[in-house]
Amino acid sequence: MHELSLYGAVPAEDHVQILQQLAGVTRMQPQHVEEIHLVFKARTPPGLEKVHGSGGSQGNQQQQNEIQRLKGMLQSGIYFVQLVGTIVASQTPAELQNGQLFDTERNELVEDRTQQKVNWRFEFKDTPESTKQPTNTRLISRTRFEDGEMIAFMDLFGFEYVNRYYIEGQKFYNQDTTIFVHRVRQLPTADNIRDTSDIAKIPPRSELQLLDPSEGFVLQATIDIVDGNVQELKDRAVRQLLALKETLKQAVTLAPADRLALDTRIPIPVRRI
Amino acid sequence: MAPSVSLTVPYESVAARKPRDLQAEVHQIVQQKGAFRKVTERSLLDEIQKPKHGDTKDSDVESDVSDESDEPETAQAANEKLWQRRMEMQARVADARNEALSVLDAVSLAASGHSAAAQATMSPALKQAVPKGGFRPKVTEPKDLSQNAKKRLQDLSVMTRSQSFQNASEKFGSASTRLESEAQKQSKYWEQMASLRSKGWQISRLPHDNRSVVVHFGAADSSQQYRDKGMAYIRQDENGDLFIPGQAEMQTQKVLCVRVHRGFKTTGSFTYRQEPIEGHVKLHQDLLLAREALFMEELFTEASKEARLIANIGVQARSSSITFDLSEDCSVEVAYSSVRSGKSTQRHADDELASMVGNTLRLMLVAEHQQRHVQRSQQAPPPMSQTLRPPPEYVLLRPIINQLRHHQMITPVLDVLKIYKSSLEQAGLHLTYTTECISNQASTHLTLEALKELITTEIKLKLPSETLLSVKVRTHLSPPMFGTQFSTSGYSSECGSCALSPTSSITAMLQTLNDILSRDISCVVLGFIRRTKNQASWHGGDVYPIQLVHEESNVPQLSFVIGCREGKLAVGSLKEGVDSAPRVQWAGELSATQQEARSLLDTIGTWITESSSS
Repeated sequence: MHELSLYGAVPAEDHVQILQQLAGVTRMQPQHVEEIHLVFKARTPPGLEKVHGSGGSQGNQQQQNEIQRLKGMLQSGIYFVQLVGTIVASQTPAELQNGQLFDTERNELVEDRTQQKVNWRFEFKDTPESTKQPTNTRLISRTRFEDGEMIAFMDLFGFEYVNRYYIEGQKFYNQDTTIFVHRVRQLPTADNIRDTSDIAKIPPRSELQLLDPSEGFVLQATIDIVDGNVQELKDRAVRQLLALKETLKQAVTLAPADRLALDTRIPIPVRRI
Repeated sequence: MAPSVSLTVPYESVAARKPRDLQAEVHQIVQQKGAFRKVTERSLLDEIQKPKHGDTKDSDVESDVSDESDEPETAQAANEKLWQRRMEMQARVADARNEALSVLDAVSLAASGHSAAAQATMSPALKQAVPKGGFRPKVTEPKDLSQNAKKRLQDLSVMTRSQSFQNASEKFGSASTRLESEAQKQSKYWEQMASLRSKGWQISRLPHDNRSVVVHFGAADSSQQYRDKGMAYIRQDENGDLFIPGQAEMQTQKVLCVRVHRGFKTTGSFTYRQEPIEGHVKLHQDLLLAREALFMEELFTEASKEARLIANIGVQARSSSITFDLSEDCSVEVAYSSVRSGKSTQRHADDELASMVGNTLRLMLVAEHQQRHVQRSQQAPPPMSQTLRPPPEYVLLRPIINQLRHHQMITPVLDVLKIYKSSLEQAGLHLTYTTECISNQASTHLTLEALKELITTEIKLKLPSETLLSVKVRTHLSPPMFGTQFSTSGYSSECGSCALSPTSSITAMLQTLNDILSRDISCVVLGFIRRTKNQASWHGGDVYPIQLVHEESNVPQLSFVIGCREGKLAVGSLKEGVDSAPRVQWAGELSATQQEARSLLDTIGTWITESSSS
């Protein structure tokens, strides 16, 4: 599956206005979204450093080249991956409204961690392709994780926990496009690594510090396509995204992001051979 | 000035002699009367009128024409006349030319002092006779005008000036009135726009056409084609009132009508009408009408699509109607026609059924729209793929047919139970039953959702022997049932056991019910007999009068008759007739077949004899 996206910046003071405009364009009310993102790093294959490239004689040039190639292969395919947990209410909205858990003025769920549960998914995103297309195109993969010890499972799977953060925002859906207006909050480090994925241990949203002190939001417009190698499909998605860009021209400027800013590869430590 | 002359060449006679081509004729007309684009209705009328006024100048021509018409001349005479006219014409042209040349000479002479061009235009004779520049123009001093003339001149200038002022004021006046009316129109426009907004209509500009304003009246979550149709441009007429174009077509729109037919008669009809609301402006009414028309169109189109899908359950879809059967002689027709009949005051028996179907159809479509909105706004769109996703089918007719057929199937069962109940009550036995609709839906307010599910009705029976029996009737038009299924819980007593496994036959159902009741009544009777031992008097034959007497007090408690009536097991009571002879008043039949009744009666007979002998 491929993901085509465009990005735009929404200042904090324009946020409400943008939401209203998006609600008009997409003919729906904003869907409030809260997500926890756990960042994992793939471990380098053990024993890689023991592979010695040098020390051979001149005649072993071909073997050395072979070793270099192998090393390159083992190191280049190492990426950061994420475990994304969407926080949802464990009860239906109707019950929540009856139970006075729905704040009608702010149109948001009142935070009560005991009433919430998390839907986890494993997300891999490649670095965007280096093309001259007017959108960011990248390979993605999403897998749902139903239940279990997330951190331990990932550890056994060969991924090492790095960091975590929290995303809040509103989602809109228009045809095939998902518009996500969001901002990032920092999550404190958990005392115990096992508690990292436990939402009951997460402090309320107001206590979480914003990553961007200007309190601005990011607007991300995305279309997922089944196969990015089919040109016709890609063109259709690009057309739709550009049409949206044109529609939202007055409100927010949508543009592809810097490719390297979306890089998910783990930098290879430069080692002298 | 030379008197104006009119010369007409009588071309008619020539034309009459030899046919000319149209082009030449047109050319001639253009030459004589001017271009056709200058021809107006008025000018043509004037031309027709002119001869009638009897213009003196044309009189001779006319008389000539009349002469011509009176006595047709020979070709020779006509030719002569033509030549004569031509010569006359040439003489006049020569005169005119002469005069023009002499004027040219005079002007050239006057200007010859200053201009070389003027010298060139002088005639050679003049050049010889008069030296160049012989004439000199001289500006003369204005004469002292008389007092009278001065005054006249002054008056004239004042008059001219005042006239120009008057013209200007008139122009300004008309401009101001125009502006005023424009301003009024503008204010009216915004006022009506505001009132439209306040009534809840959604108004927006089109992104690609910045100048036009559209009003949305259609449902936001209908299919693409109806969503596009659900908006209209707002225009302003000459009086400044807003209107939506294409309203005339809407007046002749088709309407949706539900009719119920029994046999060949229409026994019920329903047409949804948008009643005009008092005190609303025309635009608002028009929008309501437009919304209604669009809604009807979508409803019928979607229902037709669905009807084609469910043709297997006996739904017929035609271009302007959908028909489905409820029972063998009863059918419901949903018609979409342009016949807008007047409000019929005639009431039919099935009007309620028709209105139920009509209103439920509307509600189903609204519910489908709502469901689409919820789906669209709460679920992320699936990834884009090459295979086009067909728009989801609406479920409109199925729940209604399901419900109606279920009702249709349950009615005979309830009718039979009613008869049993009353007859058994007369015999002193009690049969009670309650019906209960079982739904999986937890909450009660989502009835439309509940309509779409499998419908199950449970009839809970309390048989005369106090045994509980439950009869389940389930209807579902989709696989695996494709209809109605009946089933009963197991019945078991000393008179035998019986149960009905799910079947779609109503006859089997009624038979089983009969069987169970017969067995139960027999059981009750047996119980009574056992309790009263020898008190029961027993006479053989087809009628078994049974009197049950209380064991201790010897007071008769219940007396009834079980017998064979017209080959069927029946329960009744013993009454005294007119001649004090005993007579049986039958209350109701119990068993379905003669054989069964006979065997049951025999069983009862054996039981009674057994119990009395013991």
